[in-house]
Amino acid sequence: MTRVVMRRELRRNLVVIPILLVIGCVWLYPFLWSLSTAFKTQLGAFTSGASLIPDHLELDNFSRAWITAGFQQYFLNTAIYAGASTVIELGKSALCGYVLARYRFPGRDLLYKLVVATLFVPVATVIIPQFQLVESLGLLNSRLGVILAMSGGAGALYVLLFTSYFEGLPQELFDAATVDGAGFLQTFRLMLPLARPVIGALVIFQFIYSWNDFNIPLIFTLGQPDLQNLAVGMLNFQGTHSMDSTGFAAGMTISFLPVLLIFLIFQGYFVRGLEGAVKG
Amino acid sequence: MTGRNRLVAIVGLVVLTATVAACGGSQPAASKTPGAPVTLKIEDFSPEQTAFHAQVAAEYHRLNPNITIDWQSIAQAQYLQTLPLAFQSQHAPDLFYWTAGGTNTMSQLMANGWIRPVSPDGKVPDSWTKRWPAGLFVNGINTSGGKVYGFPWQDTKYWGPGYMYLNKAVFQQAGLDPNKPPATWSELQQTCATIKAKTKAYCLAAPLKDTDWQRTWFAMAAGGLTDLFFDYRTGQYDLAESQNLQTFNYLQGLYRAGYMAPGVNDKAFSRQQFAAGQAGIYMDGPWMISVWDQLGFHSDGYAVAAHPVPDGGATGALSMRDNQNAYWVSSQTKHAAETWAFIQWMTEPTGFFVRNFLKNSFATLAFAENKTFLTDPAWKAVFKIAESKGFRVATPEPVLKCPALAQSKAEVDANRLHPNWEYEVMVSALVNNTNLAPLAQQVAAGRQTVLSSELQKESAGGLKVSLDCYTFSTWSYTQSYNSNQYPKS
Amino acid sequence: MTEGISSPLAAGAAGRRWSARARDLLGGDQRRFWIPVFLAPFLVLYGGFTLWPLLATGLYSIFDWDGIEPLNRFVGLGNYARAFSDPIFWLAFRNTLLFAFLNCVIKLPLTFLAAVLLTQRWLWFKRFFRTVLFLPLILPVAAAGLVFTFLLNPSNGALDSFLVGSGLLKEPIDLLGHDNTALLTIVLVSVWQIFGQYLIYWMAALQSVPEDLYEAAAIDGAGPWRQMVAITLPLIRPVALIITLLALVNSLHVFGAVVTLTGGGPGQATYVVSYYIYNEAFRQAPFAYGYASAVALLFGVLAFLFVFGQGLLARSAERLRREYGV
Repeated sequence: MTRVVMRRELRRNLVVIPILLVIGCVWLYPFLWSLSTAFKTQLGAFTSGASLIPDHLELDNFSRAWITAGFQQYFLNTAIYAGASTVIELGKSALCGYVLARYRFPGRDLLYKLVVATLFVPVATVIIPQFQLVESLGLLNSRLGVILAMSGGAGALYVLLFTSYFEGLPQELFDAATVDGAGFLQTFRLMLPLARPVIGALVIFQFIYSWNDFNIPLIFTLGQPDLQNLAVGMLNFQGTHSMDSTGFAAGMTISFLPVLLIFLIFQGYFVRGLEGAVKG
Repeated sequence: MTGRNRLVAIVGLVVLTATVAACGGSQPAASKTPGAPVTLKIEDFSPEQTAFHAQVAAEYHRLNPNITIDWQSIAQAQYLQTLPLAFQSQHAPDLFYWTAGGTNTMSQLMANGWIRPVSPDGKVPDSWTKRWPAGLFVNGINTSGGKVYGFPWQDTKYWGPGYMYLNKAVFQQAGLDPNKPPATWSELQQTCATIKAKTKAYCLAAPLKDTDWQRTWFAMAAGGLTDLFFDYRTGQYDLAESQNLQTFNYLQGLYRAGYMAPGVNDKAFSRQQFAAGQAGIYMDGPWMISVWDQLGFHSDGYAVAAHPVPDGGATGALSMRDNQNAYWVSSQTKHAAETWAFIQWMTEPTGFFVRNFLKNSFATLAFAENKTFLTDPAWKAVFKIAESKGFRVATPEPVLKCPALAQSKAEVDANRLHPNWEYEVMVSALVNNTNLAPLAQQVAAGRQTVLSSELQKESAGGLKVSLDCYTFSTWSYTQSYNSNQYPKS
Repeated sequence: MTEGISSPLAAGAAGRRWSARARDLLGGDQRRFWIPVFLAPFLVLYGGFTLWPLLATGLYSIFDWDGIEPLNRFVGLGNYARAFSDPIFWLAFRNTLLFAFLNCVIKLPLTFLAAVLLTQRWLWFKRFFRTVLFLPLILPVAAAGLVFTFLLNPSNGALDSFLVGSGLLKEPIDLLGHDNTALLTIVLVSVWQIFGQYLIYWMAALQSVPEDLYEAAAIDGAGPWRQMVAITLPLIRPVALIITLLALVNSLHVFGAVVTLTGGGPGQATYVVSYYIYNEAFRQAPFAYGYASAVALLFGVLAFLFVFGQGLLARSAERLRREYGV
């Protein structure tokens, strides 16, 4: 880098970084506040107002949360559901999105429009038919049933993402891949890594969504509560007459760490992206 | 490994794991031979009682080594959604909690085919029913055709809204005596003025979010008319009745004067506000005693009093409804005898269950000697207040006047029209400082229309119901409507 | 094999010559086999878990059903008529459209600019700032709502104690307690919470633009703004449209934020359609699945017409403009 460029970069950073830091602090404040609630007593959380410092360190919240939310039983389930449904979503959306983007076949436009149209209906009432479907498959009260239900619901949006992304890739890349007589599968294998950013996005979102979803694991495991996940366990903080908010905050603190980890890992996908593939 | 192969491998591994894990689900034990291990599943929506349930399970298992109690509690909203699904998929528990139909709960549950009599043959010994005060086993409410289906759980004399809690610290700071609580509306107004002038605290912590306004409203409206949104004397929805409008105007005055804590808060917030000494008064029910204990705020910090009444004296009272049959034996149970044995053990008036339940102050029980076990001074105050004349009265029960109402859906549909309508219009009028009357008319008329038109339709279809079933013109709001006043069937 | 792909421009000419050949080689056979295979997993799950429930929802909507009894109370279009004639439904509908509009108008440009900024070569600590902006997404919406009811409270909340304490305001302001500020506050909270998601979407979209195009433009003297308008925006158009569509759809279905922040209040000021459905149908047992289904479908259709009606209007407006050279 030339000296001029270096100086310009330094100048830009000196202006932008402080602004970003201020925004970052304000941005993070509610998040940090909810984390610090995990260390406060109930009344302390209430009276401390804006302060992030607990009146006194109440570690009992964590031990209580561990039991109430059922971390011991539910952690494995949560990881399985989140991981499996992410993989399935990834598979089905990438495959379908690729085909929708690059090939014309009878019914293609209709399918695409159908997928877009069905996004609009709120999902309030779809749980009962899904329940009946899984029941008729005999998969109630099984992990497989929960995983299927989790992977079945939201797929439309990921397909749209993949479709538009693949559509946006230049036709020349696609043609160049087929130059060497690459078959259908091989072409796909070449093109798929180019969609790394979308893959990264999907993994992050589907993981978070499955991790935090309590509806499906609750309803599909009625007969076998030990197949439930952490999000269901978190419901137990809502008592008949009061809510254990500090326990809830503690439970959330423990449970969000794996999600954060997934984000940190897959964040790299957005940077490594196309750097190796497309060079001027 | 190329990307695609890796993907296939991962998918394959996951599917394999999932299949293995899925196959790990066990079948519920359905043994019929006595002495064989039996698991009783109980479900309700009291997650705060989970530790207590574990205690109960351990103790019962100790006494009956072949029986394991599996007690599940989840949050109420999810419970209402999942229990029907459990029944649908033949995974219903043995014993479950359901109060959603009020006095018609039993009829509704029978219509759904969800319940069976509490004992294997439907008959119960007198020694069991004698655990309750007389007259609580009523045909159409918890018995049917000579068989007992339910049993009253919570008592309704002490347990309900209408108590006023006073924060001692705030009162003392304002120079007021917490043991001489405001008894009338004017006195309440004066108390608030003093608290506002002399302290930094708010006078009244009244939650406004969602349906939480009921905490304050029920207490205050009861002094004027009743705490129900239906007037059983006139057979009408009563939000627009002059007495209720007067009560609301009074509360609106308090709000305008800044005596209520600002913000559309939920009950958890208001309660914490009170416990933290940022508000002097909070109105709610006796469950607050255990709620505040959990917050570390104990009865030496607050006093309990009856709600204030209009200056001319109380012209109404809180309601005590026969709707507290809560636990039911499911029709899908395979262990009717064991469940009945558990129910009998559970309802022993001085037994393990009662003792520990009351020790946690979860509620007052209809079959227990509450005063023996609830010894906290706050509870003593609650008992004294609840027993005072005219504090809480038994309201007329339409289903006892017209038993055919058990098949009627009119009241349910009328109440289901915009479920929180009353609260929404009241909070809107309060926050925007507008007149409640026109909105209240809309609400009352809206519900009344549905009720009367549906009753007409049902009676035209042959059901012996009418609006007259809901009208008890001989009732005066301040007295209990006794069982001998109902027509003999 | 990835290294075999050289610059698109260089491969262009040769590629076009070869692609015709390759297509002959590929032939229809391979495609006829693989396309269905690729579509199958999606179609199966989509059919079972989205289409079938939609059809079932349509079926339920013509009954009055509590979820327990058999489907025996046929009401035809009664549920729809009830929704149509309910002023509260229309109130919820208006609020939902307003919410969606505000939400998208604030969220999309902000997240786009943030994505552009956080992918600039010259910025330091990119990863750190990205993580910071992303973190609220991990919070479940219910938790975020809970936090903000504490922070925005006029009695002792952080925001008001800061504003009053620093002298900016004389009296605490009740953001969630007034009709005219409550909705906007919910919009801002939900933007805060979902920011990370759209940040990532935009970052993914931006990644598809080759770096060398920017470099070439910079050499030609184009400033960063011009680069964005001339290069970035056109190239990410297909993905940008999808992101906008997703943003609209998600904001039309807002629920968790409303429940925890205002419960539809004060009164009914922040009623949205999802909350309306929840309140009318699932608040008390017995539930009203039939009515809920009808309202859900009605809203879905109305929202679809609204969103695509706009698009159609915009396109025909543009066509007219081009025709008349305005």
